[in-house]
Parts: sequence; C-alpha cells; structure tokens
Amino acid sequence: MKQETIEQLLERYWDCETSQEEERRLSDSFSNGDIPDNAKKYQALFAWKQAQAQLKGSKKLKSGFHKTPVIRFYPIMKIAASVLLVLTVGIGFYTRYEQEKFMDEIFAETYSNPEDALQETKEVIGKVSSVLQLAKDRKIKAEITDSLEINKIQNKIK
Amino acid sequence: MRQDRLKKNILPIADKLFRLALSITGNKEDAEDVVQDVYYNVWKKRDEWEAIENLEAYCFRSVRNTALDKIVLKENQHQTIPDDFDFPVQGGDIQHEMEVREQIDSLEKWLKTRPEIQQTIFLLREIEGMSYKEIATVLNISEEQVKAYLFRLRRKLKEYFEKMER
Repeated sequence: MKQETIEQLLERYWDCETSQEEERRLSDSFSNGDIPDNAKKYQALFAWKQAQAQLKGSKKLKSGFHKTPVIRFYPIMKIAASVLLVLTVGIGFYTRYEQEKFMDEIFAETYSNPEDALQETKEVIGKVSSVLQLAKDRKIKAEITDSLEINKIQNKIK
Repeated sequence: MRQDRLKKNILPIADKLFRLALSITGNKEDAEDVVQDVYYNVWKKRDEWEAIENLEAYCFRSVRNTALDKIVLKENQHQTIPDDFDFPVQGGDIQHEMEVREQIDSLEKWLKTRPEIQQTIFLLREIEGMSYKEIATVLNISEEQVKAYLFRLRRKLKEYFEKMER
C-alpha cells in the first residue's frame, strides 16, 4: 500500500469516516510494518489491537455450561425417561391382564342351569363325605385291630 | 433447533464475549464468570429465544450488564494483557519490543480512564470489527450515538499519542 494512502486512511480513521474494511487494511499495514515514519507513533495502538484480538477464554467456555451439565445430557435423559415410562405402564397393564385372566379361569361359569349346578355340587360333596367316612371307618377298624394285637402280646408275656 | 442455535450462534462467540467482559472487569477470572453466568441465563431463557430478534447482540448486552454489575461490587481494574504475552514487533529488536510494551501498558491505562461506554464501543469496533449498526443493537442506542461516542474516543486517542510523542 502506498504511504500517502496510509496517512490519508489514518486521518479518516480519527474522524470515524473509515469503513470496517479500511480499518482492517490499516491494521494489516501496521502489523506488516508497512507504515511511514510519521505514523510509527501510533504503532502501540495497533499492537494493542492485535494482542487483544488474540485473548481467549478458557476452553470450558466454548464447551458450554459447566454449571448445568444436565443440558448436555438433555436429549438422552428425555429418551431414557420416555422408555422408562412406557415400560412401567406396559408392565402394569400386562400384570393386570394376567391377573384378570387367572381370576376368570377360576370363577368361570360352567353351568347354564342353577339346579344342575346345585345337583353337581351335592354329588361332589356326597362323594367327598363318603370318602371321608370310609377313611374314618378304616381308621377305627385299624385301631381296634391294633388294640387286639396288643392284648394278645400282653397275654403271651404273662 | 435450540441446540443448533446454541452451537451455531452462541458458543462460537465465547471469546468475543470474554474480551468484552475482560475489558470491563479487567480480570480474567471475573470475565469467565461473567460469560458463564450469561450463557447460563440465556439457556434458562431458551423459551423466549424466538422473541429475541438478535441473539448474539442480546448476549453482548447481557455480558456488558453483568460485567458492570460485577465491577460495582468489586472495584479492581488490572491490565488485561498478561505480562508474558509475546507482542508481534517487527525486527526482533528487544529494546524496541520493551518500548512498545511500555507504550501498550500506558495506552491500556489511559483507555481505562475513559467512560465505560466509550471503551465498550471501542472494543466492539476495533477488536470485534462490528458495524455501527451492530454495536447500536448491542447497546440499545442509535447508530449516531455510537458514532459520536467513538468519535470522541478516537479524537482523545489521537491527542494522547501526540502528547506522548512530545
């Protein structure tokens, strides 16, 4: 760049008449050392600008939010919560269904006529009681036999 | 959608926001705290993003306000450029480098004496290369006001350099 142009640019710079592009060109000229002697007194300004532009925050700033790590896991948490919800509701419905099925089987209506059902029940109860009576008779009989046997043995010993 | 805006518009300007915060607080740790607070608050307000016309400008404005609140609480103003910073000086002349460093230090001190709004406009224009319109949006003032503040600062800056030369 011509030296006259830099001086002219500088004058317009101080008056705030330079564009962003012209101000960039001015900075570039100073950082390249491509400046006339009488402009060297402003060198510190452009060195300061260059140094400032290189100042950076630590990396954690760009990675976002160390105060709220939950944000980074936000989408995963949403998916996990949905899966958990579907599973819970699903298991609930399944258990209830199985339970109802089981109860239905137990209390299923097998007779259309109540009298038939009564008759059948009486028969079943009759069978059960006769079986019980039979068992009782056998037990008494066994007890009598046992005591007779014991008497026999006792007599022999005497 | 929000994650996209976060990645595309907000996280990449972290360094710019950091420099603005640093220019106001004058302290690296405070500046980082400011940017983090702003990011946190901006994220909390994500439901309102649709209503915010310019999210970047909103971030800059929040950083400025948060940083200003911070210095009211804590009146410490240090230099922003670290002592071990390697200044790009032509020629590799150590004596010249030391001179430039000294000049920069006194320039920084001088800039700190200017009104905060002028300093902020100066930074947004000179370092971040923003247009007058963008700066006006950030500060919620007119473009003419931005130009007037910058004009005042540049005029004073020119006088400062002329005085230093004598």
